[in-house]
Amino acid sequence: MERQKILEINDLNISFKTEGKKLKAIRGVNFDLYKGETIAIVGESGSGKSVTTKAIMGILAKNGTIDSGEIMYTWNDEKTGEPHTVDITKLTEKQIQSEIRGRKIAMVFQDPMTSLDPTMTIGKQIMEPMIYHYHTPKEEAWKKAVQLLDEVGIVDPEARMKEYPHQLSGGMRQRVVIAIALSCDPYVLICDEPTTALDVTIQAKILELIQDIQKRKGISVIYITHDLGVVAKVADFVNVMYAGKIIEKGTIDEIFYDPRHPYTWGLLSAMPDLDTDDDELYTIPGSPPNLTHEVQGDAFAPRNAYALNIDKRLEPPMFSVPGSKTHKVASWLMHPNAPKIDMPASLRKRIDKMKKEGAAHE
Amino acid sequence: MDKSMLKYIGKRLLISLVTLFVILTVLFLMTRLMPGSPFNSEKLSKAQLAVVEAKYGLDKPVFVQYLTYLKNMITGDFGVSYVLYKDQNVSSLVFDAAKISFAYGICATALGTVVGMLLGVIAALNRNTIWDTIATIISVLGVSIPSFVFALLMLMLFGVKLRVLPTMYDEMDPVYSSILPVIALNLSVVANVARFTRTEMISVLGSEYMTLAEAKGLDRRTLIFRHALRNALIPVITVLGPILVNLMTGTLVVEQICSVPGLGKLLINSIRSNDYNIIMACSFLYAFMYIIMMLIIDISYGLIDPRIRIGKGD
Repeated sequence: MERQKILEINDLNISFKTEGKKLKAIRGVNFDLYKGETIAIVGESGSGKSVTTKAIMGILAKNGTIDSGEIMYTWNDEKTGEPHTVDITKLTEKQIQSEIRGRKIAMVFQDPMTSLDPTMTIGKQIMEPMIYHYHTPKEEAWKKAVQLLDEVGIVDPEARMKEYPHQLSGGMRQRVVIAIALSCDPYVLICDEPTTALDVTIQAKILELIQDIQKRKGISVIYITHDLGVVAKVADFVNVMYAGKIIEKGTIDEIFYDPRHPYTWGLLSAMPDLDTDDDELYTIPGSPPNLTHEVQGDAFAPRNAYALNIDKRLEPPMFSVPGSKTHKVASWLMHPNAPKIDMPASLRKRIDKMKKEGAAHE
Repeated sequence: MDKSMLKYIGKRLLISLVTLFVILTVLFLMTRLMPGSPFNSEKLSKAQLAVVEAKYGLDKPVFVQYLTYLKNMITGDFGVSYVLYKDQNVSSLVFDAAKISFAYGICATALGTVVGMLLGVIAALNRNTIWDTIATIISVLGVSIPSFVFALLMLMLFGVKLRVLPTMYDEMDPVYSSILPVIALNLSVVANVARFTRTEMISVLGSEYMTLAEAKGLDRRTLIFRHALRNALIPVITVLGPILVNLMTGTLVVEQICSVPGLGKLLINSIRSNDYNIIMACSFLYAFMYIIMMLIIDISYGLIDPRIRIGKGD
C-alpha cells in the first residue's frame, strides 16, 4: 500500500521575544509524518521539541512567532475521499481553533495530575470537544464517552463519568486525557512526554494503549520525549533534535544500531541499562547553548569531543548516510573529506549486544 | 453529607460556644472596669444615683451582676438601655440597627464582589496592558484609602458640589439615601476581591488544564467562561466571608459620617455614654457573626469545590 503523507514540515523557523531579545527556538526543522506511522522527536529540555508540536497545534505562546516555513497538513474529505492540503502556518487562529486543533490533531500532555480541569467531571471533559466541534447530541456524546473510557481501559466507565479528576489515580487520569484526545477522532495524536510523570509500571501500559489505539484507528502519532526507552518501544522513525535543529533522523534501527552524530552517541551512551560495565552513568558534558545569541557553526561543537575545526565556523548541512534513503545526519563528520571517526568503543559494545538480543527475540 | 461532616460541624459548634463564652466574660469585665458610669452626665445627687443604680442592679458586686446577665441572656433578655434610649429593650434596639447594617453590608459586599471580580478578570486577561494597570491602581487605592476618607470625598463630590445624592440617611427614603455610604463601603471590597481574583485567574490561565482545554480546540470565550472562571473564583469565596461580616456588623466611621442608624453608630454612641448593655449586645453580635460566618464559609467551600467536598457529592 502506498504511504499517505499527513503532515509535512518544511524548513520551520520559530522565534520568541524575551526581554527585548530574539530567541531562535526552532531553526529549520523538516520532517514528514505518514498515515498510521509513529515518529519520535528526541532531545534535551529546551531543544525545541515541544515548541515544534505547539506550532502544529497553533498554541504557541503569545511572544512566539513562526518566522518562515510550512506545516502542510493533508486529509481526505469525509464524503468524496479527495485529499485536501492546507498550510497550518497560513491559517488564522480562528481557523486552526475551529478546524484543526482538537479535531484533526489532538494532544496528550505530560502531567495527568494537573492537565484535567479539577472542577469538571470526567464525563463532561470527554464530551466537551464532540459537543463543541460536531454538535453531537448529549445522549450520543455520553455513549461515545463511555465507549472511549472503555477503550482506554477504564473499568466501570459509567460510574467514572460522574467522577472528578481527584478521585482517579495518575495512570487512570492519563487514560482519561487520551480519551479526551480521541473524542473527535483525530488523524494525528501528539504525545508530549506522555509517560514522564507516571510510575514505571504504568508507563509501559500507557505506551501499549497508545500503540493499540493507533493500530485500531489508523492514526499517526508524534512522540515528544527525552526517554530513548520510550522511543525504542514505539517509534518507526526518530528525529534527534538539538538546539532547535534536527541533527539526525532515520528509522528506529538506523538510529539505535547505526548512530552517526556524536550527540546521538552521547544520548545512547547516557541511557542507563542493567549490565553496563562502568559504575558511573555517562553524561554529555556541558549544557545546550543560549539561543538568544546567534549560533556560530555547529551548535553542538562546544560539547563535542569529536568536533572538527570547521564545526566552529560553518553549520553542517544534512548529509545522507550512504546506502539509506531515510538516514540523514547534520555533522561534518559525514563529509567525504572528513577524518574517519568511530563511535566510542563502549557504545559499540553496547549496540552489538542490543543487536544480538534483538536478533534472539526475533 | 455523611457522619464525618456532621461530626466536624458539631465539633466546630462546640468550640464556637466556648469561644463565645470567653468573649462574653472578657467583654463584661471590661465594660464594668471602664472608668465612669452610665449616669455620669446626668446631674444626680448621690442619693438619686444610688436609687438609679439599685434600679438596674448596678449596686451589686460585679460577679453577681455577671451571673444575672448570663442568666437573662440565655433566655434572650439582653437588658435595657440605661441612657441612650431610656429603658428600651436592647434586643429590639440592636435588632433595628442590625437590619440597616446587614442590608448595607450585603449590598456593599455583593456590589463590590461583582465589580471586583470583573476588574480582576479583566486585569488578568489583559495582563501587562493599560487595563491591567488601571485595575491595579484601583485596587491599590481601594486597599490604601480608608473607607471613611473615600466616604467624605464622595459626600463632597456628589452631595455638596454636584448635589445629586443625599448626604444623610433619610428614613423616608432609605434606598436613595443609602447609595453614597454603600458605594463608600464597597470600595475596599472591590479592591480586595479584584486583587485576589487577578492573582487566582493568572495562575489558572497558566495551568496545564487550560492548555489541555485549549488543545481541545475551544474558542477563547468558552475557555474562559467554562474552564477558567470557575476555578479562579472558588478561592475568592474564602476572602468574602470576613469581608461580609466586617461590613454587615457595621462600619463605625462611615455610619457615623453618613448618620446611618446602624450597628456602628449604635456601638459608638453606647461606648460614649457607658451604656453597658448595648455595648455588650453589639460586641456579642459581632463575635457571633464572625464565628458563624467562618463556619458557613468552610462548609460552603467544600460544597463548591469537589476536591474539598466531604463524602459523596451530587
